[in-house]
Amino acid sequence: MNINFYRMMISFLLGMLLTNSLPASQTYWLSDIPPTKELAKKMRPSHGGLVQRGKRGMYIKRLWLREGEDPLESGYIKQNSASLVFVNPDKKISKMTFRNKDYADVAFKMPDEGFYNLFMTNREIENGVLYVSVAKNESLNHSCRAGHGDVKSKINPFYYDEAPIDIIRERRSRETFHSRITSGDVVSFTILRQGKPLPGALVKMVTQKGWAKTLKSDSEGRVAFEMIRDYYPQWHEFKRRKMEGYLAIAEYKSKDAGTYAGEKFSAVHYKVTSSGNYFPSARDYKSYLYGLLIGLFALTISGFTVYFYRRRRLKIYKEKRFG
Amino acid sequence: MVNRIRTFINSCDLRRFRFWLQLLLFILLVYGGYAAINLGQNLPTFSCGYNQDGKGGVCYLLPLQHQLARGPASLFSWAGIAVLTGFLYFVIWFFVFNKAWCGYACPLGTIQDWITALRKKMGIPYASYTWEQFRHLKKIKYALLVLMIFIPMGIGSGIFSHDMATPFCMICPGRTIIPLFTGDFSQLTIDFSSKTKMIMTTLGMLVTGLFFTGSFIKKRFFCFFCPMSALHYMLSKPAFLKLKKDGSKCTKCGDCYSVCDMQIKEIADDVDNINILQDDCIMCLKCISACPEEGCLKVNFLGQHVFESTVDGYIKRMEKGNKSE
Repeated sequence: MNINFYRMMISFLLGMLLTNSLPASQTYWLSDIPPTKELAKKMRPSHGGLVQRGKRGMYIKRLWLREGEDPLESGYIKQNSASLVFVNPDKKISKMTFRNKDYADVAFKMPDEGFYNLFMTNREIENGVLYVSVAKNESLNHSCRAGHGDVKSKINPFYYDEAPIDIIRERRSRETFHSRITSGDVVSFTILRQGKPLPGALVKMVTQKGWAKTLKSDSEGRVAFEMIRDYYPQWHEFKRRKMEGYLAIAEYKSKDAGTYAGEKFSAVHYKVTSSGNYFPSARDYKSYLYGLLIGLFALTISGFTVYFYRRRRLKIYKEKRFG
Repeated sequence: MVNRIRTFINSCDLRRFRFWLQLLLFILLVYGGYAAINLGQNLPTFSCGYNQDGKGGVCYLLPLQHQLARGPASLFSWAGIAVLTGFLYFVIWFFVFNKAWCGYACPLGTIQDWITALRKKMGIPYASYTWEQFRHLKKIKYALLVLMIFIPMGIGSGIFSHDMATPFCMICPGRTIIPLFTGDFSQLTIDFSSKTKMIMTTLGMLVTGLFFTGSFIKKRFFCFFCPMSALHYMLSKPAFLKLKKDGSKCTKCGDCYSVCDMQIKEIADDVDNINILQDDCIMCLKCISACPEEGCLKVNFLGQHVFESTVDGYIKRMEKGNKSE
């Protein structure tokens, strides 16, 4: 049995035992991948990941709180009473809580087009260190029937100044609602602390196949990862919509001392997570060479056909004489 | 005053007017996106949706195929309202200019006219179809329209692969050529991600190659096969802009037929019908400009004459040497 199994078991037991608090030093994140096959059947893909369809076709996003650094195998937390901050595309902020039925999950309707943000903040003291964990999720709602106008204003990320630590996925210059992160793309993040760029934060990118890379944020709080190419199937097995998950984890340690919930701490450990998906690059399956060759072939053949057809018709009539 | 305006319009140099209007609309539909112009996604012309940043609106055939592929359960639910709303917007746009969308606004049509102008400059004669060829070829656009509707519905019903999505767009030369004007060459590729995609993109590139040869020797080559033209014709009867003919004034001189890029014989032969618009017509109005008979051919907008054939206008255009081919 691999280590992931033990990690899942541990997270399951922890989930059973702990109802209101989370182990401080663990990594928590919000995921739209359902924990069971039955739940997965209720989901359908959309431009912003998996959704459920509600009344009048309105998309409903469902997110589960997970624990661990593996985008695929991380365990699902059963119960949690942390307060969630929900931000709709109009930047209206409201509070939510996990439903805690079978899992610590949350569901929200997405009536408007754009990005919905959800922040879960957990604070715990362990060995004199205050662990501040923020699990962030950014979910896109887009349906082509709503049109494609005003994309640039709706595509911008939300900056939550009150978040103790935040991770922002920067938008690419030509990003639209249909854009996907693909292998070879450069994905940039900005790390913010109370709304200000945070230099020196360690940002780790983990993919579901186990590739991981850690970078330190620069003076503007930025890091950039080039997404790994890790999909090499046989041609007949190739799926260009093959979706793989990644998890970005930013950590920062400060020596700030203070008191939290009546308990003293001598340092603060900030951690923020954000998950996403990436796909195979179009360069893996699209060919300019063949395209241009086929186009030129059609052009040349049809051109010569017309040329010789016209030449044949221009032949001078030769009289035939009999006898 | 009104009479002077009418005389001025009826004597105008249509060829020059059309050239500049086509250029203006080409810029609007191909580069309008850079100026934040968005005319919506239900335009009755090939303002290609694959022209990522530059498009000033989207050709209706793209969302139509997209919507029809949603499946019967979705189409016959609330989502069907969105499909009907899209169609309604398309009809409203179409009713305003009727088939003049083809003759004046279509970027792919404009590109074909530019290729024709190049051929003329090179002194190469154009080709024309025989009546038999014409009769058979004009059916292709209806076949393409039917396929364009039923293949997406088949995708939604699980009969065809999703890789066949937007089947007409895959073979439309507008997809491969129009984005080139904004520096996007990404549509000139063959997609090897699946056999279906590979076949569809190969067909697209073959049609692109044929498009260049065809439109070089045959005026408005692709318009004979355009399913948008077929869809237009089915809705053209109640449109606001109408092409009319007064058969009693027609002498069957054939000038209108000889200038027609689409080889529409009825424009000269039919002296019985008032509404003379045919399915291949692109409403370029060259026929009106070439007609020497007073008030024989005219174009009306909501019953008001916009442009009509006049003797003076004909003579003026002849004198200027601007007679359209």
